[in-house]
Amino acid sequence: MGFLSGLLLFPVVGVVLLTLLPARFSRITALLVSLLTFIGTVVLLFSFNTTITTLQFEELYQWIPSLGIGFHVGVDHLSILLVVLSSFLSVLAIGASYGVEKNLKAYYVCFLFLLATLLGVFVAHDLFLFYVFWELSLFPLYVIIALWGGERRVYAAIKMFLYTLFGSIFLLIGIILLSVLVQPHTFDLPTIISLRDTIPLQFQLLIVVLFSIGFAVKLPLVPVHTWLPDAHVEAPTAGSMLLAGVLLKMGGYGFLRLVFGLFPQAAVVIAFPLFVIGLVNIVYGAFLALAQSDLKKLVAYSSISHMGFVVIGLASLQDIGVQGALFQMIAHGITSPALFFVVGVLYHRTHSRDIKFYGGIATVMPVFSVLFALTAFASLGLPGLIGFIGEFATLAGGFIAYGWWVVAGGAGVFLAGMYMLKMVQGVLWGKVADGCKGLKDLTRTEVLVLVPLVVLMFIGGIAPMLLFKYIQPGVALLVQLYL
Amino acid sequence: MNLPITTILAFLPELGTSVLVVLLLATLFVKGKAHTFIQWCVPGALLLLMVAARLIPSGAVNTFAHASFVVDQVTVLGRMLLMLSGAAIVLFALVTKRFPREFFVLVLLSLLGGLVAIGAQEMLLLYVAIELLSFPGYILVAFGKDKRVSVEAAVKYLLFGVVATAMLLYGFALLIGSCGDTTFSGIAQCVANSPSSESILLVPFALILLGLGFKIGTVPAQAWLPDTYTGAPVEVTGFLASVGKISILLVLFRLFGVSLLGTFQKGALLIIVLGVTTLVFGTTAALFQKNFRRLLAYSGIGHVGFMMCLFPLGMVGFQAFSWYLISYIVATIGIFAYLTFSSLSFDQDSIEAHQGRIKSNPQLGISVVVLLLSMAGLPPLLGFWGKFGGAVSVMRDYPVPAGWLLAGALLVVSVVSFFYYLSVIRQLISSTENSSTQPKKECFSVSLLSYIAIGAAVFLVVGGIVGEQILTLFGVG
Repeated sequence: MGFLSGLLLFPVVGVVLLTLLPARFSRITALLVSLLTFIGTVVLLFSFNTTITTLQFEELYQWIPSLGIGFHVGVDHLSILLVVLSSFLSVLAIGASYGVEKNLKAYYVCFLFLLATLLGVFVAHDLFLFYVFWELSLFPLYVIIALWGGERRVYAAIKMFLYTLFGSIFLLIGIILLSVLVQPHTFDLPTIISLRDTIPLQFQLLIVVLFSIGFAVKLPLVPVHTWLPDAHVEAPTAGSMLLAGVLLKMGGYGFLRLVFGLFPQAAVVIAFPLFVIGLVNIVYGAFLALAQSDLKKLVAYSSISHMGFVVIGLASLQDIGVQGALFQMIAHGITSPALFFVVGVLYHRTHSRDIKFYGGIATVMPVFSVLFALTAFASLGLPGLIGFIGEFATLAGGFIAYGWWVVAGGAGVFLAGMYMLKMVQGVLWGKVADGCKGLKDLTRTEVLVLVPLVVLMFIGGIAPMLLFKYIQPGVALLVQLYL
Repeated sequence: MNLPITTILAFLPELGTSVLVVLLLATLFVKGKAHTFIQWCVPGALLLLMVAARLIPSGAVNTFAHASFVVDQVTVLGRMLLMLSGAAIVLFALVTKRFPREFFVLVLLSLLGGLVAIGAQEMLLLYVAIELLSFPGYILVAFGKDKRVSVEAAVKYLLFGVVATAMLLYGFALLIGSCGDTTFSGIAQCVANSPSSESILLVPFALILLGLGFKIGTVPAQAWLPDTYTGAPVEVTGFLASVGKISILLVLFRLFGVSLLGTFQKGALLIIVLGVTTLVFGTTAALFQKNFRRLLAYSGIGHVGFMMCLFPLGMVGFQAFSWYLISYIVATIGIFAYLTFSSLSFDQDSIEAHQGRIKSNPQLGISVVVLLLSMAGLPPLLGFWGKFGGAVSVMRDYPVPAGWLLAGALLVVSVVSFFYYLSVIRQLISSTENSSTQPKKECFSVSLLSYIAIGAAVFLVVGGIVGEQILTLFGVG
């Protein structure tokens, strides 16, 4: 067994450990297991050779030979950062779960299990394996929302589950179709890529459309986005953090690897429509966010808007755009969990998510307010913080590819400024609202969760090359397909 | 007649079951406690016979008795699953102690009928075997005669069943009459040699399909199934859902997927249309159920529909069909073990009654969640392999646009099933506990039931991870 499959297995071992230990050790066990997994992924990151573009840490075992299914895992430039991001956010999400009181054991079991499946999605290089992890990640999230969520948790959980399930069934149909179309029948991704020219273009298009439906629901793209706000509003803080931070990236990653990376000829056809939908996402999501008075809903819709940048970056098919899209995924994976966490911090203290309820938090919780403001600025794309780089690069890519259309995306940036500042203003400044008097500032745990995220916002904003160095060679290889 | 020992050994499962039937019959007439000992031996003996069934080499008795019975992959799979479910049902009844001694005789007789039916290569033998399979069923359903619904269930089952048998017999008669042969191979030849009579043959074909379909609840003969499932004692429902379905599904597969395969295009189309209709009907109807057993009944109709769509593929689709059947039967046994377990302490019929099960009994609760998820087809549980393998086979081996559409339809409808399985899971994992779900003090035999459910769940998880080896375990491949 290699390093990567060991890394996949480790959280599962943690799950077993959790079920055996009494509930009072659950939190510390989960924290330790996720932390060790994170350290493992960091080791992976540092031993990753950025100069070669082939799969690294590759492992291939036969699973179901008669159907052409293997256990094929590995990391490359497109996935390495997402792997690290998943384990990193899992540590923080588990850390942020201090408010959970009931069924601790089951709660942390779900999170460790979720971590294993998320890692699996990003390292799988067998389509079947990819699908298994993709589907499997749904169930722990469903349980997390359905059991530890807010008032309408059951509705939100089922909605989330069924929406994504309906999306992923198209993914499954596409995957099976793809395996049927190649000779010999196989689900192994590198083999399929080497055989892709044997598939007629109209079938390539069909598969690309089927895949796109699956990924669009996950991303989510307008008009199949309506599960997201519900899921976010009802999910516990830690669930929201992972949902926004990693699960949405699965959609973007899917587009990157299995649509644009798999069928260049067919993907060119859907690139422009996708680009337009991405623009709609940016603007529509931003307007929806602007209209919210519920903090969590506002952040949820801002996620939709920000994922739109990922889509236009990908659809630009330009070097800078695709790099920007991947960067934006990471950036959003850092800012949006931070936003959900700060909202969670407030909610934990006051049990209100209404902007109008708050006011003058800056005087009551100064440390919190500084971090909150920084997070909001990073999210709205202030230069020098991480959010700016991705948005700039994707818009630049879109401009090179399609011209002035990207102005709409630029409007999204402006709108982001409006809703983020509205939130910051409503919550932090002004007179101290009645419900906010005497609130305690961040606890040590909360600082420990939030500060790493804020530090990363600075690092990503000031020295983006640290991240681009991992992305660039892989994207260059991908973009070559479109020259 | 000179019978070589290998031929006798090849019939070990059937012979062994017959011996058990005789022994159990004898217990009806002994006084004292001796009968309990024999009854408790039965599940163990059945499991031994299951192992024996796996070890018997395929093709051992192809020439015996004019080749009217065959031992091949289909027979081995059927024998093993039948023995497994028979053992489970007998255990259920032993634990609940709700039934008189006759119950065990009837179950084993019916099991024997199933064993013969799945290997039959000849119409008359098949008919007799199916009668042997169904007749004890009519009595078994009526065992809960103290409940009104139970009587209704029994009467419905009997009346529908008799009509269905009549249709089946009529279909057989027409086929035998028009071909002048009772063996499957002879009939297949006759159908292949006279293509002009294809549309005439559609009548017996449809009659047989309808007659057999009744017993597993294919549309349009599905109406009795939910009522009987809810009305019969829970052990008997488990019996119908496992032994009854295995036998008839495999008989259908042998008839239309092996013996008559490729001889009759319209027949294949008829099966697929019926299968899809059944799948859609079962899945849709299950969406609206509040009663656990009704939900299982309708979802079972859906599963049967899915499996039927694989029949026209023949042995090409057998791998997927076996995956599906194994996972479905194991999950069914597990769920009915759970329901039997619950029936000891509360009325387990409504789904709400199962609220908070995961809290009062975590291992059992989680197991039932796994069982339901496997039925729904969450990867990588074993239930998923059936659906996945089925879709792959359908897409690869049916003609191109039709196969793709069919596979797509099968998968999309399967996703709908998540909705109702989740509605049960939601109750199971809910944190508010139903006070009546507190189990009574458990003795060993009662906890045996929960071990069966847990074992089934573990099997589905492990089976899902190893995938193909499960088929080897059941002699498929």
